[in-house]
Amino acid sequence: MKKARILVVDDEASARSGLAKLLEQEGYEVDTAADGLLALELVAEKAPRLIVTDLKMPNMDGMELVAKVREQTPEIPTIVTTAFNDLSSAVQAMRAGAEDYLTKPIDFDVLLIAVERALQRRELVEEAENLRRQIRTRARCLSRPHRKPKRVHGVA
Amino acid sequence: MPPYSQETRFQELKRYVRFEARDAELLLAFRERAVSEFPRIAREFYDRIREHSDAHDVFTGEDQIQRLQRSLEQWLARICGGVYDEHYHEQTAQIGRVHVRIGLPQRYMLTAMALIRVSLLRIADRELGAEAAPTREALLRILDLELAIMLQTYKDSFAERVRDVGRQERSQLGSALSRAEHRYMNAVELASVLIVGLDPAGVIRLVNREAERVTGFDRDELLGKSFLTVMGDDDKRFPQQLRDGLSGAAASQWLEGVLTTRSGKHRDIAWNLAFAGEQEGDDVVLFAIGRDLTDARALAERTRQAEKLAAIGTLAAGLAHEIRNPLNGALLHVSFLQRAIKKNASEQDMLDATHVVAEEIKRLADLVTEFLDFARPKPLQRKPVSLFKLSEHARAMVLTQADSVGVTLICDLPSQDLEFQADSAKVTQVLLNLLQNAVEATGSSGGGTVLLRARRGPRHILIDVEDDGPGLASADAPIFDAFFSTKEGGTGLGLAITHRIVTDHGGTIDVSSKTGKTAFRVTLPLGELENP
Repeated sequence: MKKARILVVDDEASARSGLAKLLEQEGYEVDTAADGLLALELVAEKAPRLIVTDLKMPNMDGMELVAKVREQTPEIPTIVTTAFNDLSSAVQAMRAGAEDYLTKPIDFDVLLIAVERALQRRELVEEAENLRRQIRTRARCLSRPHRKPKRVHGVA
Repeated sequence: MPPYSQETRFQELKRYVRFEARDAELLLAFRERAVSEFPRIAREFYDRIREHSDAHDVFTGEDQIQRLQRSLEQWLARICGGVYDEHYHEQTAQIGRVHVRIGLPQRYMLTAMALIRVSLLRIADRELGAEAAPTREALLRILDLELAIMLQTYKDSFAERVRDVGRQERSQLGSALSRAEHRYMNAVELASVLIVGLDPAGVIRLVNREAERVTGFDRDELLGKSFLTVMGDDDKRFPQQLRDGLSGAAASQWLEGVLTTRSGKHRDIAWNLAFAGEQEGDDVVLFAIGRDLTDARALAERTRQAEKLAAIGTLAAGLAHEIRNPLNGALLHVSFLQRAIKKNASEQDMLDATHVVAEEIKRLADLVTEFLDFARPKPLQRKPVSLFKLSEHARAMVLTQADSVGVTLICDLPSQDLEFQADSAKVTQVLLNLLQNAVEATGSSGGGTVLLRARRGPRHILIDVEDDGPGLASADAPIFDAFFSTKEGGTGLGLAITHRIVTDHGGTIDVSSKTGKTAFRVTLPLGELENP
């Protein structure tokens, strides 16, 4: 069974392809983008379950991408990777809505844990949302209990 | 009568004016006839004095003159008293001293004496008539004696004053001299420049404290030695310039020399040779005044170093990012290979190879991080650290390298583990740097032994890293300075970082090196532990 679809965003080709290969090796479907603008197009087109993005990029950087995703498709979690040793850019990214952060060079084992955790959380959120929706639907059904069930029953 | 040689001054005077016993009798007889007239003589005398402003100025008032008038009467009675012994002499001398003290000019005493003489002789003539001659002579003699004694007090006082002035001047001159000498001596001794005085042959005749301090030699060791042999014969121009200085051909010249201290260290000295010239009683003709430039130069060198580092620091951040990007890509791809190969159990060699590549990439990334840390150091994160874990960790990291170059690694640790407050990662790096250096140095000369020894001091932990390699090339080499490296391919940062980490911890690092034994000693404070 295919695992989730992940969007990898990095202006460095070797980082893009390396991450893609590793994630595919783990069974994920991977799309790649070289900057924030291209990434937003792919978000609209492919609806990835998760985004892993670099911070420093041309055109649109990671920080802006995180903010845009948070605004337009808040259900998609983002993990940022940064070459900077300082925590300030990571903290800034987390404030902008990132789920997690990693410093380069990326230890893939660590990334994998972060990816799985983010995906699990998204699933939980979605499951909770589903359950809420079901509860709402049930509640609507229960609010007019006399006529509708009878008709259904009658049709069946 | 006593022999001449034992005569008192008064006896001598009496003999000179031929004042004899007969004179004394005549004077006594004269007094009987004249004494009633003494008050008149005294009054007339002071009336005359009042007419002369200079003499009058000497007196303080009418009361005093009245008193003096009475004194004069008594004096007249005394000189005609018939007894002319040493006591008499002393009384007259006392009067003379009073005259001196009140500042009575001598001429007034002479004229006063003339007045009194005339008065007395008139009385003698009137009373004795034709027989007056012997009494006149006696009167003239005693008055001459009086005058002689009083003048003598003037002379004595004058001589005394001259002696006093001489003594005073001499003592003033002496104290001024000794004060000047003291000042100059202090100036020379306390000056923070080397001052060396040379005789015409260039032999050291004077040395100040700074010269002793800089050279490390005692004064006694320097005095009598040739300036050239002690203060620097490195520069070929030095001897000629010194000759010019000693002969006075050049009044003042500047030159630099390298001085070898007692302990064999070299100091750069800027000399000013100032020609003093030959002076009687002084063999120093040339002063060599030196300034020790060594520390200033070292400081300038360190400043340059710091500026270099600051410039590198600004580059480092950008550079680190640029380097870590390709490293990141490389590591990801190697990780992919590793994972791909791992699935095939028979490819162990390839797996090992990819593992090494991955580790090397991580090491490279760490180096970049360290570089960044060095350029922009971060605060320490102190936690309790286990000496055993630390040592084992560092040892394990260099073990492979040591084996490959034929170096035996020996750990000599205390029987019980020690905990101390330190930044574990940084202290590990210190050990690693020292061990790697030792292994490389020993390995380059065909193998040997590297020893890691740790001991607990009262408040410190002592860590020694020793090797039996070829030793440092130079004892003075600035091995702890950044970018000083003797290793091929060395960054020159290893020991600089080591030094900084140790000093950041409040510790020290020292090195001693000779052929066959190089020893680094690190001391780190144990720090405040909850369970000491």
